Amino acid sequence: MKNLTKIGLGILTSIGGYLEVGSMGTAIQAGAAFRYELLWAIALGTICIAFLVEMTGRLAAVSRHSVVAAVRKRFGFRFQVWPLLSQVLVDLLVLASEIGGASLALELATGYSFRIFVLPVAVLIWALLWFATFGAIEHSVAVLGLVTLSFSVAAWWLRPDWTAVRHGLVPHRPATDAAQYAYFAVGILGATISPYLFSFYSSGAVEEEWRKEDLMPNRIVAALGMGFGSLVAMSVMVVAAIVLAPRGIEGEMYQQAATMLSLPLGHWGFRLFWLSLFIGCVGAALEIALDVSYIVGQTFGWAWSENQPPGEEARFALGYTLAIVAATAPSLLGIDPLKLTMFSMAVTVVFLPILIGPLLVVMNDGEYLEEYTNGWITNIAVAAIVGLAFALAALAIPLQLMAQ
Amino acid sequence: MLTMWGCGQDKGVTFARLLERAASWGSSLAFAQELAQQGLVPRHYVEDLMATASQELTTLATQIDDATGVDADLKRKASAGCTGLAALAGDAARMHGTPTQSSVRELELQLRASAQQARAVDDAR
Repeated sequence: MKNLTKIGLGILTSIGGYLEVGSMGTAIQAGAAFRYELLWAIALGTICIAFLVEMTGRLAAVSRHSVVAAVRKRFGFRFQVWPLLSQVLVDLLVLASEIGGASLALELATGYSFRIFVLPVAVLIWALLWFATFGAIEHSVAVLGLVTLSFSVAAWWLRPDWTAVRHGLVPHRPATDAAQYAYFAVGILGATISPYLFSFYSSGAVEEEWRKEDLMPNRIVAALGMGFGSLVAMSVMVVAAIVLAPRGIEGEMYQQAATMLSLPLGHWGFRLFWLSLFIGCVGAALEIALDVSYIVGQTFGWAWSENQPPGEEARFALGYTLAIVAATAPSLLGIDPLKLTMFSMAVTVVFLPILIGPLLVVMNDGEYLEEYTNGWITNIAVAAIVGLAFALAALAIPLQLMAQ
Repeated sequence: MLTMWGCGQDKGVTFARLLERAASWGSSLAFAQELAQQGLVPRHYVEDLMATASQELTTLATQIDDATGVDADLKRKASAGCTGLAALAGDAARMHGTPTQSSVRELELQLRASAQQARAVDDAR
């Protein structure tokens, strides 16, 4: 039973990686533009994030250190400031997108402009963090997040061409619009391999006091949690490929894509779409806001725990409060969450080497991991995927900007 | 290799992408109306979509007008199509109604034909 509850952390983490505004948005746009051709990007991102999540869970279980605490201890405070700044910037951009995404879901539900929901959504996220414990947040989001499986049901009901799906799982050159194809690939990888996922997961594992006995459950949680997210993200792409692509609907804004579940799921389709978007965005926002408090607290060596009352760890509560306030501004100004997220995902990919490089060093240090250091397969896989994502970003982002 | 692909993406393709984006709004409006008639999406969603489409199409029409290095006739036709679609969506949003599906479809097809023409001219160069 104890191991079963750990799956909640895996599912909550995967919601932040796959089911939030950016991941859903890129999967929709990629499916609408290239049908199944970019399924490989989700698969590649899943392999990478599953490796990273397993690594950071292992670090927490063996050394009782989160990623940031271990990097700070290994390289010193002066070094850690740079990854901290990069990650806080990425976190704030993505948090802004999630608050906007949840507000947009309420616009779809009610017909009123998303701007009027920005403050209530921000207050809801803040109140959940202020009043709830880590376990309560983890389990409620994990259970509510299961609603996103409606995309998988829809994809199954629509009977995709499985040969084309298999073909899409293998990277290949597209017939047309190569720059856009590469840009979407970067977007998918950037949305999936989000740095806050593994720093959050390792902090969560420390919060839950994982031990060496939890190493095997950690592997299962990493595989199941990320597998769940990957399945839903691929389903979103498949549904977009079958419903939106043949009609020439690009899904560049959520208003265009909100009809995608209506054919397979009837009256429930539209409701399940906005509900999935809302739960995914709120879950991701909770994860990211907490991550800001975690990484700032761990860098400065402050006490950090979501399980302590805010009065006892005021700096921790202040961290997520300020992050939520700062991230509310773009949506209040009316910036479309999906447009903001495409930018934030590109920034994420550019910063990935700065954030993952030090982690790889720590994961090969016997002082932290004892006999549980990384094997060569893990090192090569993670380095290769991050290198590929960075190369794609360096080439595709300028090309896409020129094209616009 | 990416640079080679990207260099091929010149003004004709960029212009065609603008028209395809505009046509995509036309397709969205038509699909939403179809679903609304079957009672599969709520009325307020269709009105919200009309208002958003009108704003986005107005922005796209300006970008089409500002495009350089494309045939003037093609540009004029595309701009008229996009502005027409924006007006249909805007009027529908204001009147809490829906535009005639055939008018939306006609303008969408006109935009797609212009996009194809822009790509063909680009390929011929």
